[in-house]
Amino acid sequence: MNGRTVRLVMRREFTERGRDRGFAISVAVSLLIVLVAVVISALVSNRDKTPSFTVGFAGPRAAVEQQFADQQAPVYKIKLTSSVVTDSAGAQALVKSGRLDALVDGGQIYVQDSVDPKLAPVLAGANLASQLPDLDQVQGQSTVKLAPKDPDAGQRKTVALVAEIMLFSQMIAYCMWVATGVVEEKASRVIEILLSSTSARALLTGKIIGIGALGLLQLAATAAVGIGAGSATGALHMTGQIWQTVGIVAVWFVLGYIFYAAAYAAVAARVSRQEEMQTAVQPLNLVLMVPYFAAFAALSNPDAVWVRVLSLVPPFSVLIQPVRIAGGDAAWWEPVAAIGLMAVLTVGIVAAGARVYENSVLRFGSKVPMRVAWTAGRKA
Amino acid sequence: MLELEGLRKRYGDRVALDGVTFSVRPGELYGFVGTNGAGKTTTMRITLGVLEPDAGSVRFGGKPVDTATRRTFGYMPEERGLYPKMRVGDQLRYLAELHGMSRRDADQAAKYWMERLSVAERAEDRVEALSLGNQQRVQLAAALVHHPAVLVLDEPFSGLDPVGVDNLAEVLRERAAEGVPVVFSSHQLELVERLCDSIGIIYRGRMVATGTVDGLRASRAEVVLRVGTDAAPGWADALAGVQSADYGATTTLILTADADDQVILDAARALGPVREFTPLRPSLAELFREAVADHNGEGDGDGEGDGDAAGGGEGGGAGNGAGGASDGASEAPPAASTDKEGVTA
Repeated sequence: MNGRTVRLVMRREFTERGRDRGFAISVAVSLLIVLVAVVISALVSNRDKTPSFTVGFAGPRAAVEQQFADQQAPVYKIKLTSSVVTDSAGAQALVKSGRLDALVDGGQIYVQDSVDPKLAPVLAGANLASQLPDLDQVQGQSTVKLAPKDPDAGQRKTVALVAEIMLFSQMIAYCMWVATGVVEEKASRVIEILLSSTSARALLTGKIIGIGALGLLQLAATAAVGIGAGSATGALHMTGQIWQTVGIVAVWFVLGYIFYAAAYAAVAARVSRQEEMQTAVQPLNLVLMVPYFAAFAALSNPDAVWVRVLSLVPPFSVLIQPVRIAGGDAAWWEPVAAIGLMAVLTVGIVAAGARVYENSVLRFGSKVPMRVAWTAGRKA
Repeated sequence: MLELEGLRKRYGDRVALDGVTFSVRPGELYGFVGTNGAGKTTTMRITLGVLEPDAGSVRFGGKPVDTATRRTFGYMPEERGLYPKMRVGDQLRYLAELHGMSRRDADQAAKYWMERLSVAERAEDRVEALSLGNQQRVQLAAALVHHPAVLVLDEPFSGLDPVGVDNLAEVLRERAAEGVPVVFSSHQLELVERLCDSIGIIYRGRMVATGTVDGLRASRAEVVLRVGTDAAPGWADALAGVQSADYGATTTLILTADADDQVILDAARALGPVREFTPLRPSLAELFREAVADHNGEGDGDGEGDGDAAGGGEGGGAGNGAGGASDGASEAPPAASTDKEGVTA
C-alpha cells in the first residue's frame, strides 16, 4: 500500500465531501443541536440563579453589621454586595431610585417598599449581632452537608446527552458517506480506473481516513461552538472537565467511526446501486441505533449494573460508555478497558472489512454473496 | 513491447479466456476485435491488473507487469466511469496524480488534454452536467492524462461524433508515433482496418486470427474475382480452381488459393470482350466473419454456446453506468457493419 496514494485519496475525499452541500447541512444541524442545548440549559440555570442584593450600611455599627451580613449571606443563598456609607441621606436617595436594594442605618432598614424575604433574615441577624456587647462571642451559623448534591450533576447529564447525540449522528452520517462513496465508485464504474492505478486497500484506507478527518473537524467545531456559547451564557461552568469529556468523545468517535466505516464499506462494496445499498446497510443501522436508544435509558440511571456492563462491551461501548460521564464516578480503568476492547475488535473488523471490500468491489450486478466476498479473491 | 501470453480466466463454469496470446510492438496500433462476450474486456482488465488471470502472464519491456508498471498504463474501461459529481479539471488532475504525476505536472497535463479534446471550457463543471459525448472526451483525457507508456482502450470510439472520431484517431496515431503500444477494441471494423497496423480477432476466449490485415487476406483459403463479360452463364464452371460462380450482370468467382487467375482471364477473353477483371479484396468485416465462422461450433469448453449472451464477465451487470456514455447506439454489431465490396451472402 502506497502512502502517497492514500494521501491523494484522502485529500480528494476530504475536499470533495467538504464541498458537498450535505456536509454544510450536517454541520449546520449539529451546531444547531448544540446551541439549542446550551440555550436551554442557560435558561434553566438562570431561573434558579442566586438572588443578589446591594446594601449600604450607615451609622456607628455599620462596620460590624456589614461584616456579619457578609458572613451570613452564603448561608441564606444570596449574593450580597455591601458597603459602608457615611452619607445616610444620599444613600436613602439611592435606595429610593433603586440603585441600592436597602440601607441599614442604626435600627432602621430603608427600602423602596418592602424588604425582600431572602434578604430580611440576613439584615435582621446583622442588626441583632451588632447590638451584642461582646462581639467576639458572636458566631455566624454554618452549614454541615450531610447528603451533598453534586452541583455539576445536571450539567454532566446535559453534556453526556449532547455527546451521545453528537456521537451517534456523526457516526451514522459519516459511515453512510463512506457507504455512499463506495457505491458511487462502483455504480459509476470509476473504480475500474482507480484500481488500474492503485490498490483496493489504499483506496479504502484513504476514503475512510479522509471522510473521518472531516467528521473530526465537525466534532471539534461543534465542541468549540458549544463550549464557547456555554461559557458566554454562563450555562457551563465545568470548563476544566468539559475538555476532558470532549477528548473522550473524540477518541470514541475515532474508534467507533473506524469500526463502523469498515463495516459499512464492506457491506456497500457488495452491491452496485445506491438503492440496494440503503437496504443492505439496514442491519448495521440497527446495530448503531439499539445502543443509542439504550443510552437514553441509561442516562437516567448511569450507574446501573447493565449500563456498567454494556459500557465495556464493544461495539456497544461506543455509545454506552460516554453515558457514564453523566454518573461522574466511573473508575479510571473503565474507559481505558472499554477503549482497549473496542480497539481490538476494530482491528479485526477492519481486516475483515478490507477483505470483503477487495473481493467485492469489482463484481458488478447483483449483490455479491457473502461466501464469494469472503473467500473469492480477485483470482476467483 | 506489450506481451500477453496464455491468459486464462474462468467465471465459475464459464471459460472467459482460453489461452489468449498476442503482442503489441512499441509504436504499433493494435485493433482488438471480437463478438460481444468474446473476451475483449476480460483481456483488457487483466492487462491492467483490474482482474487477475487464472493462468498466463502480461509482460511489458520483457518484464512481468507489476503495480508500479501498470501505473504508467493508460486505460479506458468499457464501462465508462468517472466521479459524476467531481469537476472535470479536478478529476483529471486527481487521476494524473494517482498515476504518479507531481501536482504541477498533473495540472499542466490536465489542461493540455482538456484543450486537446475540446472540453477546456467545461473544466469547472461537474462531469454529470456534461453531454455523453463530452463525458466520453473527458474519459479519454483520463486515459491519456498521465502520458502513459501503454494505452489500452476498450471501445474508445463508441459514442463519438465523426469529428471526435477523427480527433481521437489522430491522438492515437500520435501516441503510437511516440513509440507507445496502443491496443483498442472496436466494433467499427472499417475504422479498425483504416487505423490499425495489426489486428487480433478473439472469439470465445481464443485468438482466432492475428496479424496485419493484408497478412490475414493472404492467408485466406479462397480468392474472389469479379469478371465483367458477356459470356453465357456457366462459362467458368469447368475452369481449374473455380470453387463456385455467381452469374449476374457481372460474374463473381470464388477461387481456391492456388488458382491461376491468368488462366481464367484467358478463358474469358476467348469468349468475348472482358470489361472488368477485379480481384475482390475482402474487408476486415468479411475476414472477421470468416474467422468466426471457421471456429463456430468448435469445442471450446464454453458450455453456454453463443457468444453474445455470455456477458457475465464483460461487465455484464445491470449496466447502470451512471457517468457512463453507455455504448450501444453507435456500435453496429459486426454483421451489420461495413460491406464495401459485398460479395459473401
